Amino acid sequence: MITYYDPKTEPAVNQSADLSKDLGTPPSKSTVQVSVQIDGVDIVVPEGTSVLRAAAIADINIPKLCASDNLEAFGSCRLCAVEIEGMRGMPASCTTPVREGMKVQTQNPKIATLRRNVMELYISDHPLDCLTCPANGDCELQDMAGAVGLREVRYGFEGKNHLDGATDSSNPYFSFDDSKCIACSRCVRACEEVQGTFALTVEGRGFDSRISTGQDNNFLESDCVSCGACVQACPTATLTEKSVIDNGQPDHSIITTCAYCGVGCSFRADMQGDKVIRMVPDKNGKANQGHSCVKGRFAFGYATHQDRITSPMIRDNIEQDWREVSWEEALAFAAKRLTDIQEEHGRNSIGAITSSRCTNEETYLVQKLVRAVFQNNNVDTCARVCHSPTGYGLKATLNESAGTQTFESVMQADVVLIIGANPTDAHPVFGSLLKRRLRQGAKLVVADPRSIDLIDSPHTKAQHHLKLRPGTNVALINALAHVIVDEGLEDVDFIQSRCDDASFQQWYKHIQDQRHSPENTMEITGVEAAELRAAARLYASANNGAIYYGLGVTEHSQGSSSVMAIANLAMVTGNIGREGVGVNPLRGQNNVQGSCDMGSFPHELPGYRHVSDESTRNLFEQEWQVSLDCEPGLRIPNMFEAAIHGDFKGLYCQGEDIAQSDPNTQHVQKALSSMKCIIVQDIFLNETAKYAHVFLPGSSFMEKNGTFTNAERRISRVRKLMPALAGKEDWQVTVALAKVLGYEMNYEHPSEIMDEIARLTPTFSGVSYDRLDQLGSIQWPCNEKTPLGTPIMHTEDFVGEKGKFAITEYVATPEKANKHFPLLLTTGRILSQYNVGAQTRRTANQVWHDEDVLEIHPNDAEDRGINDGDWVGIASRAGTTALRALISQRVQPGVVYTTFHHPLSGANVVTTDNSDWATNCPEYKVTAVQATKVDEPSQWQAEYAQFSQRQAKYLKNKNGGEVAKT
Amino acid sequence: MSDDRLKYVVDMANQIALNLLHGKEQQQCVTEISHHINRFWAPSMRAQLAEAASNDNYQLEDMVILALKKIKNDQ
Repeated sequence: MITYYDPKTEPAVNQSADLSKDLGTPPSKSTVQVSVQIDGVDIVVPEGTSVLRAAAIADINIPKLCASDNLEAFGSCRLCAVEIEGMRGMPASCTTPVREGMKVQTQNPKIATLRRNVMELYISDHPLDCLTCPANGDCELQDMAGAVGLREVRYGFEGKNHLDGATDSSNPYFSFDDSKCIACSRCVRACEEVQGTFALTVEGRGFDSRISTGQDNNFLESDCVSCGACVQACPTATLTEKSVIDNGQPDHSIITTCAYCGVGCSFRADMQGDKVIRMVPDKNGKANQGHSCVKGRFAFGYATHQDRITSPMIRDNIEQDWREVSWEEALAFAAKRLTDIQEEHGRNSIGAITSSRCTNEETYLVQKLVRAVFQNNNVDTCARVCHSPTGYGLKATLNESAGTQTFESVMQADVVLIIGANPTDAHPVFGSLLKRRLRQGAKLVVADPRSIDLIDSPHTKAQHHLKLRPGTNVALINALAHVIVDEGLEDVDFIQSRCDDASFQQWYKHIQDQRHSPENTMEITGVEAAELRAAARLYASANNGAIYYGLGVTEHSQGSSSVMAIANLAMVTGNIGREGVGVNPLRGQNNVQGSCDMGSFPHELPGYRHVSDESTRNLFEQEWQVSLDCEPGLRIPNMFEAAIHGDFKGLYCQGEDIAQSDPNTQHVQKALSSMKCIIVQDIFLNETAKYAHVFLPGSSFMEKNGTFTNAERRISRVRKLMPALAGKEDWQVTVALAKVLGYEMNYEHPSEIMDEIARLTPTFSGVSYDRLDQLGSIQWPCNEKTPLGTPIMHTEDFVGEKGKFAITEYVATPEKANKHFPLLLTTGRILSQYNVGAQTRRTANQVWHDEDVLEIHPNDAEDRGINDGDWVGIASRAGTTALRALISQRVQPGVVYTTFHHPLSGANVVTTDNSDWATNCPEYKVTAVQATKVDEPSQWQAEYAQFSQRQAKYLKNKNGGEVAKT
Repeated sequence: MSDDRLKYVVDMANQIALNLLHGKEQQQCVTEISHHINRFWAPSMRAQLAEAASNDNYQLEDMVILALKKIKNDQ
């Protein structure tokens, strides 16, 4: 007898289960098992399982066209018809659930005839151009015609048909060929059920049924977000990637991990030789479960873009032509400069910045280079400017610098509280999962100054939108906690058993004070007291309440306080330590979690252990055979200050574009211009590289092996798809630089770097490439106690300790609006672009967002005579830039909003030096500005354009007209 | 040493104090501020703060001054 295997109840085995096979319909969640017999085979499956799925589990493959196991059963194609003892006719097996004792027959002459007849009808209205069809070899319709033994089409092709259907090629990545559509509606259902956008519909009835993007739009102009779910679902060539149309079918595949946001989607790279034909979301990927967004699915062309720089370059100063040189010459040049600087200005006069775009192994090596070779702790990571408050705040309260859940956990949440995050734009695959849960009935509370899509989108509505003023998160979260305490909604048992009593009593006394009441904080936050009280009650009274937050929490002068206040909220309601709850930081970049884990902060060695801890230092000293500095090094903003004042002279910057991404651009430019040696390692000549003396060409995620760790603490493999275009993978460059500086790092493969990390880091001690290959991915901690990883944190204690409540008093930001700067500017992201845009601007994603705009409320626009599309000057205490206006009710009066994906926008020209009190994370989210109608770019923009033109010329002249050295 | 540089560390230290001084006894507050500065600041920044504390041109919060004394005493 075959027994149904439910992966979710047997996680130990499931870790390596292959979910690639399409079982036709989704699994049943019932715990009641029923026995059925299919074609004489006895099988036990959960009640509610479809006959189609039960058969597929027993490897009895019933033909199907409209069914897929990521979509609810639909029963339209009739190809999966079967005979069931005691039932009349031939029911569709996809929509027929199993019953105890059911006997099913899937094959007999009568069924075969029916299936052939069904296929005959389909094929009678389908172009017979299989040999020249782009889906040739990857077409379910073709497969099913073969499976049912179709040999003739008796109806001919002369009658009314759809063979002259038009092709919509408006989307840059895929086309819709209506002539090949069989109206199975899988694309429509994928858009609804998987993506949650509802951009597609079936228009018309009967013979006139066609797939439509609604309102006579084409795909590009429709609500479609180009996630690719419809393309993946299509069983014919109707929806096909243009890269497949242009190149043909791939011949092999490699599983790797997306290098965009912190969701960390697993992808199957479909290849021809070393050329990527398409990226298809991996159904086995536990972070994304077979779904994707427009960036990971389609926007990978940047990796082979003509702007890639593939040869090392050097120059003596930044107003000089670049010179292409050999790796040896570039590294020797860099090493000499760094050595000379240290000799002249001291050991602490140089440092390095790592990037969350790089792999764990790469960031580990950069911090090792700094600590072991530079002999100081001046290493920092771009997490400094995004989620450093998460590291600080969660360590202080929950005793671990990481989120507590899996993404999948949200499917058990009853109330979801989103603070300062915009998942459908910034973490789209998680956004889709969340929307699915909301459609199932979970409630939603959003705290955001701006109206994000989740608040009101098809079939999802937020119960409460707490539209707070920028910079008042702590007051708002404290008010939520006050209501919970005031109304006796706290989880007393959890607090008594799991939390530190002294810290709770101190916090309890603090938060009870009436100054934290919604009625008193209303003046600060702008949020109605009744609405806030209702939101607090909703969250506190949920069986499972989950909090998700993003950069709208961390990038404030009180970012760390906000994170701790969120942890307080979760602990006081007992919403931690099980499925469906937790504190979930939505990390911005692919490897923010990993870069922090790897010891990229100046005060911590890998595994979040302070540099002053002697036993930890001894461990690394023995492994690395050097003595280590026991004092913290400089953070990124501290490096800039020290540079401007002449104490910091050399910087090795790997994969991070500080000139564009860090606040107060003029200040950053001044710091960069003050240094004697800037070494940039990147795949493009980014903004920072324009200030560099050495350019070391980097490798994209397609050109190297390694691992990324996503926002769930999930470590996933990055696998090399093609040779490194510059001849070296990034980790090899750091190894080579260390060698020239006199320190040997002996690794043959990144797996050996991970082995070293595992030897030295208790939370990683069970991680290895072999185990990652075996399990697919691992959520740390992974060690002797948890060899398969830890999906949910803090189930019994907080890493051996009690949870600590932190007092988080609201302290207003020094950045105040006044008559000169009456508006508050806040910043964010858009779906199609990624961070500074270096990658996505070099893809067809530009079609959706080719410039940053300023969202301004109609009242504020009218007061200033600003119309849609006008150029608007934005002046702050730090600087001035100009953007086009987009008049929008998404922002509240007094608040303006922009993105920062294009360098010329100069969004960070106006952001200030204000930063989080605990971590120096910049306050990107609150800048007092004035907006006025202008008719020309700002002075900074004009100067920047000139500077960029000069730098482009220096790059163009890199060979002095000669052929590049190799 | 430029004034800007000292002002930078003074502002940072005062901001830390403003965020840590609530709902606690003075001793706990001083301990937390000194711990934070020791744990997260490079020695060069701590030296600048000490320099600023000895200069009347900079307005350090009382708690920061006490924290600096504690840092010195603990050394």
